[in-house]
Amino acid sequence: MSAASSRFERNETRLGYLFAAPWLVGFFGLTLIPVLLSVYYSFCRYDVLRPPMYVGIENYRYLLFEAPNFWKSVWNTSYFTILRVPLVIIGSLLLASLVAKPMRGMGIARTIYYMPSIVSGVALSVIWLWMYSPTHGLINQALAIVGVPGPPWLESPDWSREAIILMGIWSIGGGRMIIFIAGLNSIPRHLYESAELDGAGWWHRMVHITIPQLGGILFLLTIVEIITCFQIFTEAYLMTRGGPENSTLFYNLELYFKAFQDYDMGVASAMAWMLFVATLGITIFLFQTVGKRIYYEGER
Amino acid sequence: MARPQLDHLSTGNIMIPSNGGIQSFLTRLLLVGGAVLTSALFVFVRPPSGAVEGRTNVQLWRVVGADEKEAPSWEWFNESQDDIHVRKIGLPFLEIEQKFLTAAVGGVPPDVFEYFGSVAQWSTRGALMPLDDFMERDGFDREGVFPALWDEMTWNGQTYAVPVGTASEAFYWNKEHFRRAGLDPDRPPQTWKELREYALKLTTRDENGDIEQAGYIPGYWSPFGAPLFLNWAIQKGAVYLGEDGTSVNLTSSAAIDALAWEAELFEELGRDALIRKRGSFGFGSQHGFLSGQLSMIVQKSSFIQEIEKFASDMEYGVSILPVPQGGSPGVTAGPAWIGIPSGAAHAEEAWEYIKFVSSTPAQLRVAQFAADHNLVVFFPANMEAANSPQQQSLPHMDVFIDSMAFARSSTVVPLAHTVFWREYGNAWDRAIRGSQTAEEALGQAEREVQRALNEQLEYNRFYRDYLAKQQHADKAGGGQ
Repeated sequence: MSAASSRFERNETRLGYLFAAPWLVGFFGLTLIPVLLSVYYSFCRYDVLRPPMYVGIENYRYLLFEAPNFWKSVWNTSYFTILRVPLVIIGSLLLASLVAKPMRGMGIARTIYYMPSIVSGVALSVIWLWMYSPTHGLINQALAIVGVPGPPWLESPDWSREAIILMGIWSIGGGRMIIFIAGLNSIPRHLYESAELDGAGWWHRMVHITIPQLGGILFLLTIVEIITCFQIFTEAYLMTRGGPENSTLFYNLELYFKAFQDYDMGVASAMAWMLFVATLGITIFLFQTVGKRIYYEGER
Repeated sequence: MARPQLDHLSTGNIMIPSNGGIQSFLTRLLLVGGAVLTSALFVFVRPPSGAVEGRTNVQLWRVVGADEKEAPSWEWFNESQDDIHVRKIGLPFLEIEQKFLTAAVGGVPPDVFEYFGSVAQWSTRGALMPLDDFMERDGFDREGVFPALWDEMTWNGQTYAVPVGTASEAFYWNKEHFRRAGLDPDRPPQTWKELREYALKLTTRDENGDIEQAGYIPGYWSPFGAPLFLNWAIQKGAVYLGEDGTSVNLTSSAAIDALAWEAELFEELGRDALIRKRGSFGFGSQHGFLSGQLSMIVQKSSFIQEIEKFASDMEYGVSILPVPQGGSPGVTAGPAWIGIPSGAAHAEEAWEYIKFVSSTPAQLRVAQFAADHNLVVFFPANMEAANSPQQQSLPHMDVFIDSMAFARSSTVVPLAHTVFWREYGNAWDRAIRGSQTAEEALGQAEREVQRALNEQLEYNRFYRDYLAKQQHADKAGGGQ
């Protein structure tokens, strides 16, 4: 290594850091340090205005064994995730297989299906609020035409969670559909052709060719969707505020109430870390179990 | 390892030669100079601050109204003297609390803070400065303000804010609905018993059993609005916080009776049908009362403005709330207040401004402004201004101002304000829906609020010790 080039490298490194400095300052000052501090705060009583008071594992103990809303929010979020993930993944896959074929005008069809996902979560919630109106809402009016008396949806503790899950239909044409289209189009044609020659129908082709071939994509999207579901917030915050009777009190909503209504940052930090550990645990579990059995093309 | 081929590639168009020399020095100088200059731009060049030279510049933060006119008290103040310039910074309602919190923690709070949320949220956490020394020094007259409003301003024996406005609640009814139901349109229900009778009479249903016109919906205010269930319990004489401020009592017979009465009425009117009806209401012209689908409602003074905006031809009346047998009239009133954040740079000047806006002449001017612009969002906290002919010229103002005689603060448990309202709200919801009795629901809420209160009391003791220690350290440091 010559002296000149090592000086150059040092020089280049320094410049590199200089250029990266704004991001580094932001990352360390505004992300990493606060994240690490929140570990400490989760063992404290802390309302931002006053100094933190160390309370040991009290926040965790309270949440796990006493807090009336904690387990309710865990249950609500799990229920939401278990129903919403298959709805959205299967919906997106079916929609993608509808519009994946290279046909005249398909571009327009894809665009139309993609469009709803552009709408912001806030506008979306307001629109669905109207659709779910018990007497004047589009959904109940449509049900009334076929003679079905619609439920009061967001006004009922038995239907409000389902109502928010159903809103997922709105998003099935979004980014997930695009990824599925790409995945579907990369499946070798000859697999389908030989299957057809053997007399395989739509269902068999789907189960034996499409799904195994899409394994990697399905797995990735499922994990991303699970994480997204764990973070459900906007819809419940805007449409129900967790009600009625806490039936839509999702984990992040409860966390938000603790943090930004009660300024109980200790409990909120503890909740955030428990969510992180749960998310990490579930992801690792899925990788260890399902992830190992997935076929990736080019893999030997 | 040397990478001769990549040298020029990796540095791209900057073209730093791999050997040192004057060129490299110049390039470095340019780069570093550029970085310093850019940082300097951020640090030193600021947008015009609106500061006025030759005066002490005081920053006032307050909520900016969506489309309402507001009495510009700060302009009046700036015109009235030559030493202080108050600059108003309007912040949206949804952002103001968090912005204030961030500024307070960052040590750069505004000099004056005007708001209508709970004072206790801030005073109990040391974010506001006690004003007692200023008040005593200048002989501040507390007597001019509605006495009900001072409760919320004080905590631990000290005063943290001065009320400048208030809004109380009253009972509204649709006279046309009364006439159609064969009721005297000029006589609202006087008692709980009458409210029930009227509500049943005014409720009409279609052939499916769905409610077409609801007479009264207990707790309905607006979508997501906190139900006003506190009124009924207050009328019964409920007291939620013990004298020493350490014990919560949500399960007094007064509180249970009031909630049980509401739940019973809700059921009698038809629980499911009422919930469906309520769920179909929205904001603005879709509001239950404003759209003419609801005959009676409890609402704030500002509701008059909404009636004029969305249902200007509605014939309606306003009176005090119906009273239970053996009870006495009672409502909650929320103040608009003004205070000085701890660590404000210009506390003395801020206090001058507070004295000005809370003074009778300024409050009378606010009343005049309200009369000129037909404003009823808040009315003056100053009794003389509230009772002035100008203020009284506004429609139904007398009802709200008379109600101040028996009004109570909506901050019930100062140390656990938000927990109280959320838990109480949930308890109310459970009782109304019949999934718990009033007693069970309130009992559950009481446990949670008490727990939150205990925690806060403990935190408070810790904070007091912390402050004492700090003071001690400061003294020791100062002595050296």
